[in-house]
Formats: sequence, C-alpha cells, structure tokens
Amino acid sequence: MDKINPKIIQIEEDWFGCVIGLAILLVIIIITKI
Amino acid sequence: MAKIPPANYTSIASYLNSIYPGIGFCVCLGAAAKWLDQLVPANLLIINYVLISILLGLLARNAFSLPAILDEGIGFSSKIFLYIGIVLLGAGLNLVDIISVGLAAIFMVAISITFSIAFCGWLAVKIGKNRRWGHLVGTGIGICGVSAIIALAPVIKAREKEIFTAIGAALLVDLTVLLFLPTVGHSLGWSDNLAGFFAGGVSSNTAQSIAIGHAYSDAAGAIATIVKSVRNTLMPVVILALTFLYTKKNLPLGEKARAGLLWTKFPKFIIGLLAAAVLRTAGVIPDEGVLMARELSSWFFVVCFVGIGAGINLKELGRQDMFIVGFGFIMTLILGLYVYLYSTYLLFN
Repeated sequence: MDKINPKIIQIEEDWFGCVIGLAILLVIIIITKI
Repeated sequence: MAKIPPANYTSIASYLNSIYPGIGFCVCLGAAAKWLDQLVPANLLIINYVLISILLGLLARNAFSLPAILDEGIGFSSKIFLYIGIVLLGAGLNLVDIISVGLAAIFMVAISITFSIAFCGWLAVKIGKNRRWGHLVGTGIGICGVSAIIALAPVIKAREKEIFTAIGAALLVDLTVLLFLPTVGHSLGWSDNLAGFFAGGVSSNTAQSIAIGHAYSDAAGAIATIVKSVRNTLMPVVILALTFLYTKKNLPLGEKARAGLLWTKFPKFIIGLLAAAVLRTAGVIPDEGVLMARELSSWFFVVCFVGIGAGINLKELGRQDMFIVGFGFIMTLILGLYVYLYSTYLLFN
C-alpha cells in the first residue's frame, strides 16, 4: 500500500463523472457539427 | 461523496495503475454481454444486455476467485462510468420531459421517503431494535441505499453493525426488484412509464435502479434515471430533517445540522444530466450527436453493470441475518405496492 500523500489533488466522484461526461458530449458536438 | 484518487495513493499515476486492470476486465465482459445480447431472440424481452452484463459480473465474482488487483477498477467502473453514462443519456432527453417527469415524481418520492423512514423507525422499536437502526434502514430503502446510509450514519452516530445490516437490507431490496420487474412487468404488459417509475421509485441503489429500468426497456431506463435523480436530490434534505429531529428529541448527534450539508450531499452528476438536456433542447446537439451519445452511454452503462454484478458477493449476502432479509423484503413489498398504485391511479390514469 502506498503512503498517504496529503498533497495529491482529489476530486469528488460525481463531479469527475459529470465533467468527463460533459467533455465527451462536447467532443460529440464538435464532431457532428463539422 | 467519496473522492478520487483515494488519499492512500501517492500520485495520479499509481492510482491509474491500480484501476486499469479492473476497468479492462469490466470492458471485456461488457463487450461479451453486448455480443451475447445479439444472439438472444428479439421476443425474449426479459433477457437483454443489462441482465447479461450483471450476470456475467456476478458469475465472475462468485464462480471464480477474482484477484484483488481488479477490485479498485471494478469499483471505479460501477460508479464513475454510471455518472458519465447518465450525463450522456441527458443528451437524448428534452428538458420539458425531465421537468414533467421530475414534478410528477417529486410528490410520490417525498411521500415514500417520509413513510419509509417513519415506518422503519416505528417497526424497529416494535420488534425490539432501536429507532436509529430503523431510520438507517428506512433511509437506505427510501432514498439511495448505501450512499444515503453512509451519509446519514455519522450524523446520527450509528454503530458499525447497524450500518452493515442497513446496507444489507438495501442491497436485498435491489436484488428483489431486479428479478421481479422484467419478468412480472412484461407478463402484465406494464407501460415504459410505469416500469420506469417503479424501477426509479423502489430500487435503492442508483446504478441498480437505472439497470433495472434499462432491463425493461431503454425508455423505462431514461424515466428511471430521472425518478431516481429526484430521490437522490432529496437525500441532503432528509439528512438535514433527521438532524433537526434528533436535535429536538435530544438524541445523540455526530454532526450538527448546517446549510452547507445540502450542497455537500447533493449528487452533482444531475447537473451534467440537466446541462446535456438544456443543450439538446436548445438545438445545440444535432440528431446524429444524440444517436452517438446514446450509443456511448449504453457502453458506459454496460461496463458499469458488469461492475455492479462483480461487486455482489453472494457469500457475504448469505451471511446476512435472515431477519434483515425479511425486513427488507416486507419494505420492498410495501414500497412497490405504493409506487404501483400511485403511478397507476394518480399519474397514468
């Protein structure tokens, strides 16, 4: 097991899923609009 | 809400190294589920990629001893892939539909949550357990299973055993609904609306609730997602209300009620779902984009569903107190009957 590192950047799971989902959607919009 | 990477990782790279084997495993079984789904005759509505993927995950976990190296990635797939899938699902939804389903669901859900918590609290005292245990089980079954229990537990100072048994009851409810809805619903000719409200209104775990909806049909899956999102949104309100109740009754409290609780416990992926629906309603996403988002969303879901199946250890469920099984089963029957009657006679009459 790795040692605890308090400096690591963390993000809430639901925010992460939300951001990735919207980023994928943005890519889809760009692809389909071109 | 838990954070990623967990604090025991020294870097993003070490976390990525720990999740990719499990994600790869879920993707492979998910692809197998999609392939097997095409071999199933179209008239066999009960068997579709959702059930196949959950069963493959379940089989892999319980028939073979999966190496621990897969666990982190399986956990990641069953949560993060679900949130991504929900956001992409929003690209195919109209904001007006979301609002109309959400408004229809909010009263039904507010009543079922209040009843579930109050009834479980009352029943727990009657059968010799304490009220706090009843409130935990009621919150788990009424709102969103494990995450609501984990969120409420520190607030009302629940003991570890109380948390464990409450989670067990919520999981058993989901398994019951998962087996019940596709078989009974199709044979009784339930509409997508009714099946969607049932899946979203009765099942407690978010991923399983959406899986159960999709196991019925894609339209039922979309409705289940909205109804379940409404339930999840009410979680911080319920926790705040119980905190006030415990303060008023001078019962032990772990955390004090604060307005910030409403935001910290709010499920943020709902913002993504709404943003995607706004973009679709405003005409930013073309029809071709909607099809692409829907296909991708089904892939994220199938990987997530494998993760759900692989996360169910039947040996652990078998160790559950049979009393809890009965308690969860009775609550499922009552909740299911209420949602069925409310949906049939008040919403779709």
